[in-house]
Amino acid sequence: MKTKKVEIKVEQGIHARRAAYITKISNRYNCSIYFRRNDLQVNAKSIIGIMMLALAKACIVEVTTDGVDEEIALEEISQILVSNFPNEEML
Amino acid sequence: MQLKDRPTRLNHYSIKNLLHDLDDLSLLNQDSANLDNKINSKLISRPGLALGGFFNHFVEERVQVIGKIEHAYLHSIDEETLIPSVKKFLEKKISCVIFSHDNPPPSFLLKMETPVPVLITPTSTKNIIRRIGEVLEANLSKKTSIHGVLLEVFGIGILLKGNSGIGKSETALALIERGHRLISDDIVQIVQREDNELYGISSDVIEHHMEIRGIGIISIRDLFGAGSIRKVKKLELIIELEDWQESREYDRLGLEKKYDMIMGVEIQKKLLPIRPGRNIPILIEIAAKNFRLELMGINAAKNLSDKIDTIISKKENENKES
Repeated sequence: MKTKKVEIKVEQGIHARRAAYITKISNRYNCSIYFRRNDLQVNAKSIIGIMMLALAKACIVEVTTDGVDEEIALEEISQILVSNFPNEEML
Repeated sequence: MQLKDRPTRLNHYSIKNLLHDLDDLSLLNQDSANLDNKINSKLISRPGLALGGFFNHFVEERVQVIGKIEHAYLHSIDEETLIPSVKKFLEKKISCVIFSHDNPPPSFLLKMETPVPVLITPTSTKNIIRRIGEVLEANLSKKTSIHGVLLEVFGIGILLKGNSGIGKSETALALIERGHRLISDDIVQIVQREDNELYGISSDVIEHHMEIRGIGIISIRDLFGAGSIRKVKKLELIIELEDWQESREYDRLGLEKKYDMIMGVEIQKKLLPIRPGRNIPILIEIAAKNFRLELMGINAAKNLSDKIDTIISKKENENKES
């Protein structure tokens, strides 16, 4: 199990389309992926879960991955949370 | 590893939050009060004996409410005898002192420049205690979040659990279509009220929305009407859906009850195996009705079992006689 605290750096926060994108990427991995903020922990493979957190810029979220590909999953998911998407129009 | 049901510590709730939530409270010692004082107890204390100088069993972490009796005492004793015990009282780890009925504190108390927030309210003691109790109950209760769907089926709060892709949301839709109610899909926020009661609450952000793969986001309220949703419901029964496993023994009688522990509270649980031809929504309705019957003291499995026992013992007696 790997855990990392990530500060959201995306300008507009994690809105619906970004949440859908995160879900899409998360579902490519076999490991379980969870986001946690305050007392709410959600499954990153579920779009409703990510939207429920309503993450704005500068929010801190704890990303936890657990499974065979946990390391690479944590790396890619954290990357999505800290960087503005390179190809915004693809979302 | 149980990642999903991790309970959380008590929330932080300060005097600042209390002043924000209850608009009939006002602060008297603006300059010296520490508004970041945390309230750590849901209970409220009437510190009559403490003001009289008796501090045994004094529960300092509670909110202290000065009602008519305490107020009358503070104004009936001469200051020299009163000041030492009031000083001692304020030096305890008190989160705040509240004067009810708009009865002002004695002037020497404010002159002490205590960091303990001194509040006043026009509300009666009885009502301010009730209102503070409600606010503290809502904010200091243990909380957690659980993966699953919370529904109200025939008045019973049922949490549907199971691995993703097993069909929880589809089952929930079928139940809503049949007139039952959705509280929350996918993530259910659970709050512990009292010692052994759990309540599921829908998220303020997501409310009555669901995601159905291939269709997208849908609004249950708009599709099925105002009667199809609910904000809060007591959690009474857990139904876990799983793929039918040949090797596994499923409950055939329903005589023994299984429980899941959530934040130390036992909730009855039924394991429902999925197989082609099983109509899951109807099975869940039956489980809900059966649960209601059990609450009324009617247990079908036990009744039948008792009946068979009686017939057997009757036959035994007949055989002995013949």
